[in-house]
Amino acid sequence: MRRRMLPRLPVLFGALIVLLWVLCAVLAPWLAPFDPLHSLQPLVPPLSDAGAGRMFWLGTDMLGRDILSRLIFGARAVIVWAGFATATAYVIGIAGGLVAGFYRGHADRLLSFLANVVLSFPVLVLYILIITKVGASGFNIVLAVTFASAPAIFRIVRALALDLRERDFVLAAISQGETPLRIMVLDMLPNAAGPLIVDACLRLGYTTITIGVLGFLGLGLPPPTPDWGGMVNEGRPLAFAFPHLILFPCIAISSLMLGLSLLADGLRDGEQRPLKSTGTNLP
Amino acid sequence: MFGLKMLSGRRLHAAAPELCDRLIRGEIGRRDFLQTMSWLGVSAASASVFASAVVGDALFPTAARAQEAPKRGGSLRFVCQIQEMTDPAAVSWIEASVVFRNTLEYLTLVDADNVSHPYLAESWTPSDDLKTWDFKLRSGVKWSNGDDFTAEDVAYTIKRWLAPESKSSNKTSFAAVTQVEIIGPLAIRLHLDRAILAIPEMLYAYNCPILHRKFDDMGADWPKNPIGTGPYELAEFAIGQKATFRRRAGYWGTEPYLDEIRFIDMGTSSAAHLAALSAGQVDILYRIGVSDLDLVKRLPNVQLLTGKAAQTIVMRMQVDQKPFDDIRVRKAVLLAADNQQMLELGYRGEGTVAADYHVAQVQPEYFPLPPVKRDIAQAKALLKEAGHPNGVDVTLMVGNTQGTWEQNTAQVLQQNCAEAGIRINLNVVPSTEYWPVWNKVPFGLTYWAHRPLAVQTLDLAYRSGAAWNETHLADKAFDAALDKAMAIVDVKQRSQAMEAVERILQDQAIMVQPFWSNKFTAISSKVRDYQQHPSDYFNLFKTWLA
Repeated sequence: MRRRMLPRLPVLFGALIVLLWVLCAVLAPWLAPFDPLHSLQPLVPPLSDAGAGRMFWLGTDMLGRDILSRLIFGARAVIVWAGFATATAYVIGIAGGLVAGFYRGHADRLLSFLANVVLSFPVLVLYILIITKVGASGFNIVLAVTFASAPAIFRIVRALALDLRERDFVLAAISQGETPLRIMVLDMLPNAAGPLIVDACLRLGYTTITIGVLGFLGLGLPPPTPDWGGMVNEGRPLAFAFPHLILFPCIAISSLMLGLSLLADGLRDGEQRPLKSTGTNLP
Repeated sequence: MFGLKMLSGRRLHAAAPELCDRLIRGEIGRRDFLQTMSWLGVSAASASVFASAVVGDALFPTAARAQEAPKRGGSLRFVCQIQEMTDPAAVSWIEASVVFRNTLEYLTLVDADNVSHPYLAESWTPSDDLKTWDFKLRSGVKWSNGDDFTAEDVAYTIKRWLAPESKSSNKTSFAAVTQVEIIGPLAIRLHLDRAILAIPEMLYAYNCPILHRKFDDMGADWPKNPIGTGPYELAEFAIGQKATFRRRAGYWGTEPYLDEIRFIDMGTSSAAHLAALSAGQVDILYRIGVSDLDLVKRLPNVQLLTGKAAQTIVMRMQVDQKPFDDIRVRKAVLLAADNQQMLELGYRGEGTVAADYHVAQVQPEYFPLPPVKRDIAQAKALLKEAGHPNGVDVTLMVGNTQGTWEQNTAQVLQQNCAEAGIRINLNVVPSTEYWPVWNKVPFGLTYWAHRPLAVQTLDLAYRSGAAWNETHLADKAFDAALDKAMAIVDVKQRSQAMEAVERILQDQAIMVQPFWSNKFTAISSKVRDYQQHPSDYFNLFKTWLA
């Protein structure tokens, strides 16, 4: 058991990347060499002298803003909103999944039907529809991601819950007269946590990509917020002549996604844990 | 007098001598002189000779012209959108007119310098009060189906615009026309209810081609029945794909050089257009954007054409919406705005800086007003006076209808205004979401296309209750000043009258109008004698392929 839990090299690497971006997000004001919103000198190539002993390490964009500073501050936007959006999707997906798995019958049929309806939409169209109808803002990104991800999470939780519902410790808890809420939250959820944590890690990565895609489509965080996807979108028309405008934001998006995927891989390997019951003890 | 001739051979228009005096006194420039003379029906050649004698410089620089002898023949491939079209008078896209301009012709032709030339009309004579206009039509013109071109065709076409059931935007622009009278087999007279000077220029608007008198009887579907008086005939038309024109025999005018013109729809990605151009698969692109310039300059075998035009963006505020109903807030926005920086960062410096009153240097009635001087302290003071001591939050809607440079420009304004405590929240929406609400949002960024005359734009956009009045400005003094300017023939006097018009617009602080954006296109290095047109009314009759 212990040997399997040992993090291997790729996992470490993944964790390191994620940690790096989290640090960037937290320490952005101290790390960023320039104000990410301030116009200095337009379209400067990477590794140019910025005067006063400073450098434009990654160059500047068409409005003359330092790209490195925008990437560092952009980490903030993406980590905060990706985390928030994924968490919201989880709260809703888990609640629905537990209810469906515990009560089964009509509740399950209704919730599953709703989830299938939402899942049958092409995700991207769904995002665009939501954002164009309600406008671009951080909150709406959360709404869009939640709407599109919650049904998938619901399905995972429901499948796990249906299985757990038949386990002895749950049946015992029911016969003991525990409230359904207590059984769902304290008995069933902890036993479903393993797969969910792995899924959450992956989903966090997808949400990062989603925010990038929304930004690229011009539907992400409103300008001038440094948003990685938005930076790619803004730089795209000039990309032939100034590839650095899109190269570095793309690397940022991919690296965070890679880090989260590697992390999820490692967690999946270590996740094969036995069932545990926390709320109720067998008599 | 002075060798000036009316195209009609009749007596010189009453306003002409005064214009000559002003040119001699140096009060008006050569370009304005020629343009106004052309409206009055004076032959451009005689006016040009007169102007040369007086001012000495030539209007058309010959340096841009090719020195080689033009070559006949060849097929030219032109990239532009091929949109659905049935009635040429009802189209609302200039691209459509670029396609049919090879077959359908207009009464007048306005060149890239805004000078009106005879076309299907050989000459025109306005009455001294500019309310009655006589047009003498060209003789010997035949429709491609063999019919003679007559005054009936012209009267039919113009009456069709004005009919109650007309779907043409000409119904509004020619609303002053009360009667269309046929006064001879090749002569018509327009009766107007108010004086309009620019009638010849207006007749070259993209949706004003002269149609065959049986157009409606023949099904009112031009691509199905493409009869025209022009030198080319439509051979193939497929919406979203291509339109092919071949030169026909029996054209009344000078025979053009090209045997065939193929319009090709390549979608909206300018990268794809440029790739095709650089690979030699196409010859002319309808237009390219400011973001394509760096790439174009690196492409071999490609010429970049740049032109100035009165096209612009306005970040306009609605005078009846909070917080813009307080003029002090609007003034603060203008005081904080740095138009020069917006031009440099937002549009890569490829244009001319403007001063917030929507009249361009390239327009004949332009009167130079000093710009609003940037003054952050005063902007803050005004905001405080208006009850916003801690600044104000506003939302600017941007649709990027012309490209992401709109959003870039807005971001510069956002930075400018932040210094004065005006916090602009940018609401960037897709262009399809912007157009339905462009004149409804309190604070929005709108693109305005070029119009030859500033008064045409101002009449549409800022007159009380005008159809496209997106600022909701309702200022009697402005309306009166505009009326006054519109009725003046004399360029100098008109420009003087425009001072009041422009000053009201600037003082009302209804818009940040940072710059006039240049127009760009890219063509193959094989193309000769192709000229950009400020209104995108391209004409390929003189173009040839080396």
